[in-house]
Amino acid sequence: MTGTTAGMSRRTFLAALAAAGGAGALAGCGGAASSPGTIRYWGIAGEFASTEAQMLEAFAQTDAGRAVSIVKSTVPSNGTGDATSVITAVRGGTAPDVWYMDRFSAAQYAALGLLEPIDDMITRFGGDVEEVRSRYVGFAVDELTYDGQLYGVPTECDTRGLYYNKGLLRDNGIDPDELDPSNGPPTLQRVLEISDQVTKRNGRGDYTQMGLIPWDAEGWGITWAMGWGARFFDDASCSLDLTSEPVLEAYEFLYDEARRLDFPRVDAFKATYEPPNHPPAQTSFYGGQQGFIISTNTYQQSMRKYVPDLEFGATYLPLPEAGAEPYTWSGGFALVCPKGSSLSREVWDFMSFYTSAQSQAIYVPQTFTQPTNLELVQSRSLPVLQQELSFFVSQQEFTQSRPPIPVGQLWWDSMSAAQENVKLGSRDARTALEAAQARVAPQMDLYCPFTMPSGYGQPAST
Amino acid sequence: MVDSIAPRTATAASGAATAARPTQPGSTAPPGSAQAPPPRRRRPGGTTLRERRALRLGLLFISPWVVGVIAFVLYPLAYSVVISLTRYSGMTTPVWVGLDNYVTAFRDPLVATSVGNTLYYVLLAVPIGLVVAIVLALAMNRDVKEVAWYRTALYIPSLVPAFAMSFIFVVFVNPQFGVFNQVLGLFGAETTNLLGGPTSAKTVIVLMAQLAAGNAALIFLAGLRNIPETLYEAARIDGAGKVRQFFSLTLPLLSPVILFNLITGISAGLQVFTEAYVLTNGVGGPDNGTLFYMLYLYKNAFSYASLGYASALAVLLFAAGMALAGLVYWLSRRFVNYDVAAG
Repeated sequence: MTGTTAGMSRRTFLAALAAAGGAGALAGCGGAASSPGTIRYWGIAGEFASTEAQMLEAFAQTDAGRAVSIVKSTVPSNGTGDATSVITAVRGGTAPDVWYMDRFSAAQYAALGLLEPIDDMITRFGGDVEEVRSRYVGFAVDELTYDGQLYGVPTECDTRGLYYNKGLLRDNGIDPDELDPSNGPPTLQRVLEISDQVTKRNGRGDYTQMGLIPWDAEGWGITWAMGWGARFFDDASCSLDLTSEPVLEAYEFLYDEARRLDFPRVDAFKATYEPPNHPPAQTSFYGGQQGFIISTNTYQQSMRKYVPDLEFGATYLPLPEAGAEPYTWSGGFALVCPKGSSLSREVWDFMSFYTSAQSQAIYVPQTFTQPTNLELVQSRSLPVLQQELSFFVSQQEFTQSRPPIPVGQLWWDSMSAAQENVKLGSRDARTALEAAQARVAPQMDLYCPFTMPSGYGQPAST
Repeated sequence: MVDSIAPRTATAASGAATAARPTQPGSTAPPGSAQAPPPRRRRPGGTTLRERRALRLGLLFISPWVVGVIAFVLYPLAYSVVISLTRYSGMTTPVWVGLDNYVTAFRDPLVATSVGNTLYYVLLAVPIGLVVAIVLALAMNRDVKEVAWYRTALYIPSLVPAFAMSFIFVVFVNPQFGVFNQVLGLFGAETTNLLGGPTSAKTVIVLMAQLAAGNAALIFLAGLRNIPETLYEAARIDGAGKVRQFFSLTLPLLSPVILFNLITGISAGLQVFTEAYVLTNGVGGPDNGTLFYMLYLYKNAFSYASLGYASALAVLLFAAGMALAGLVYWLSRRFVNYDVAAG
């Protein structure tokens, strides 16, 4: 074989290799689109995957769902506000048709172009967008609205309340009936008095039992700020105001309490009985070391599972001023369509069924979430809505969502960072909030003009 | 005689650099020698057909690596540089903003915080890591029957992924029941949550990194095995004790390995991410105390979808990493000894 022939054959070989490789690469890139009648769905993982399987089964029994094949996968969770998986999938052309996600991020993802608006899909298949909106509780639809368009349907909701350990209070000379929601919201001052009464320390000065730890669990700075009446966004000026008087008062309250209770001691108490990444059954409230906790209705589900004998009650969040209006906020999940979704009839039928009264009637009793479907909310037709969830569902009359703004995650992170500052005492409330304002406001400006969904923050018409 | 070890080493080091340089087959051999046939059909470029064929074959053999570097290193690097000059969410059309992202990076207080955190980590974790790894390597190098067991036992923690290690470490630092606080408590220290303070949380992560010292220790072990026993014999005859042998013989001859571990350690240290991500659920708390540079970069890219800004941060990290590696390499010329490599 001469050098030339060898070169030729090698060249041919290399060319063939390159062609084969290229073809393989192309094959790998393509094939992302769903075949007709198929829905690629990123759904619920973990404990409630089996509950969701029952909902998918119920869908398969309907006329619309009979011929539909749902290919469900559960992607690794990146945590709320971390869209690594879906950003990568959209960029790689392998995004699902439907994605189950924390709807707090919907406005932000909509603004980024990560989600498809669903208005056109609804009308294309004979639906009416306004009618669809009216199926669900208002604050949940608000979170899925950006720039006047709808970006998904809400699947469930959670609402914050104040849980108390009845046995622990009784053992410390307090009649827990005082906190029954039928007596109306307790004042913050009274809850702090009770807290001090139940607090105990050991010989080394370490806390062994505590009452309310204001910043613990869902006791976010923004939760308290809502108690003081904060509005975080002003439509007229298209601006965030994170240093307004109510926000400031709430963060000053946290700062003062962190000093009064001696934050490092409280932190050591929490880390002892409820360390980072603790197993779900290991919390200081379940363990009877903590008298109060601010949490959502779903907390009851895990209490039933891990501490079925714990005698607890739940009431309104404490009012900073006696006689003020009750307040709370709600979050939850939604079904949305990432960019590249087929937006087919099957997709809409599936989303519509998933959020129907029939489907939520399967989901709600097993998860202790609240329904978002108004039919179910108004009729209270499930036993769980009349008993365990009764108080929480009643809060839907005045609850609100977090502000659905296009820089939601940055806002959340900045407010949480300010909370860390005041907890540790590294900054006072004003300086901490000014830093948050300086971080978020310039980013928000990029999206102006922008207005909140109409009626945001107003009492719901449930 | 012992004193003469160092100068002799220094002299040999310069020769070693030459000897260690790879030779080019065919290019330096004299015409007619057995290793290379005489050049034939010289082309205008000055290379023979044989050389060209060898080059092509060589390139073909390393082509998987070349393709990998081009596709997964050079292309993303160039792409990062380009999008670092834009405002880009990953979904919509990028908007050209020139050097704005870089200006923002220098003004962003959280960049300063994250750089501070990362430097704190590197300045502590890298030197401590080298010492721990050398000690482990010395332990692994003992001339005893059970050495295989020791090596296995000392290396096993390095096999545990950082993700799992983070979960385990949380138990060690439990304020009341964890081993750290138990020991501190013996000295009357107050019960504290070591993960609750910005500085102590960083320090915990530095300590956690030491559990992975086995990898560096293996490289040190190879370096130790490479030092000829005859040198130790000579040193012993000259009356050098164990300590003197270590500082005058082992350490200088281990210096190329130290340089390698130093550069890879700094490079890995600048990119510390997993431990903070796991321990703080991606937040970087408390009070941004574990917000390392990579974590902040990641948050910008995937939480705030500011890919342009995140890319600018990545380019800056790349530049800083290169500069540091260059600095270490330049400084190393005075300290690194290639005597063993030459042998």
